Amino acid sequence: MTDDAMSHDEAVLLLPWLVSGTLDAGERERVERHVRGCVTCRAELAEQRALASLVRDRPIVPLSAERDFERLRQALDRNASHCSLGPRAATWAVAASITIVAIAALVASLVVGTREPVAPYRTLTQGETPPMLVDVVFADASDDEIRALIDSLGAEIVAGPSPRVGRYTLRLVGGRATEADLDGVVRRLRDDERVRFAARAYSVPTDDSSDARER
Amino acid sequence: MSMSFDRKREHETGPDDDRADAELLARVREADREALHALYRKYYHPLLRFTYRLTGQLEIAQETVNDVMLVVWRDAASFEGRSKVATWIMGIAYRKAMKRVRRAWLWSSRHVAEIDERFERFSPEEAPTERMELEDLLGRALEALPAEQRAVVELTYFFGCSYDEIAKIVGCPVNTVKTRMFHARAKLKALLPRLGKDSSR
Repeated sequence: MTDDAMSHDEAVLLLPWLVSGTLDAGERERVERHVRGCVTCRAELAEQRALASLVRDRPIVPLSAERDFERLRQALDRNASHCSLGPRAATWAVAASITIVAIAALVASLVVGTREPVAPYRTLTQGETPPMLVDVVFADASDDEIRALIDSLGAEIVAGPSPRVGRYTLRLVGGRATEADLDGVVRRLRDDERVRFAARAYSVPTDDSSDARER
Repeated sequence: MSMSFDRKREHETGPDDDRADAELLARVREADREALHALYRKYYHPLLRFTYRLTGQLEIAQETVNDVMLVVWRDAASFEGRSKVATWIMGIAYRKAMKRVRRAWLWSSRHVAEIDERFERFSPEEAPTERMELEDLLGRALEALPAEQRAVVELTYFFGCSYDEIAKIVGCPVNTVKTRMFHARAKLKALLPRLGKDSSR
């Protein structure tokens, strides 16, 4: 084996990108050299070519971009009617107005002595007190593990993960969940070594993630 | 490498396309709606396909596309040119679509369990050999994959993304991209030998 020879394990991982033609020249040459001498990889390559062909050919229903753009345009008009600034400035203006409302609500809540959370939070369960909500932050768990754990609790995700700390807000499903059930769920989460934080929540945070972050 | 956004016309986004996209984005930053409309027309169908493949529901995919373009409109100024415009937009689409997927976990885990059951009952010996039926089976097998793996399959084989581009779009290390693809291939393995034989049709 020469210094730049590629191991089977390394080559087999790269076969899809050999098929799609996106490996750089050096890597492609090394994978191809391995494939020429490896029966297993040659069979796998044929399968991946077939898979690529089928994936490319899978159709979806053609829809009108113009009709959906009209909906977006209307949404932008609604925002613009609140604020005639540019998009970035409009975002700040909306954020500022939310902050003002939040401060006003906080002041009001302090005056009347209530413990209800304030904007920019929204409650999903108006009329239900208290809502069956839990905030949870996972330490080190795969998406599949998180999914299985949440399913096993009889809960669903109503918000998250938040961009900075990865907080999820869960809601117990089923109309007959009690506060004791909720406390039990919090205990189970805290006992799970994959959970860093779990506590009852009283509202659902708004979507404040930065979806525009550049990698 | 370049990303293919319109297979029917075999249009490849190269450096010129990226420059054109960057110019449109600069105009969007100045609140130019015509520029947003032009970007929308260019990216609508690729985004619709990608978000539909992840969410499995056309209406949700349509809403997600508009969510994505709203972020483009709102946050054009945050684009610093460290990646291609196409990669940035697809990254926004991935994050928006995955949020939809995660919030629908209860639905999707039941749905996927049903598909898994059907998939497990599937026997290659009894498999239909017509390509359309194979596509249907493959479609169902792909639906049964975790959305993170489905995204990598779609980005690799439909959009022609390199593993580096995929890592930027989905926000994970390159090795994770390779292993997600590997796990997806393993799960599809039951169908693939037959697909290999039938692909020459």
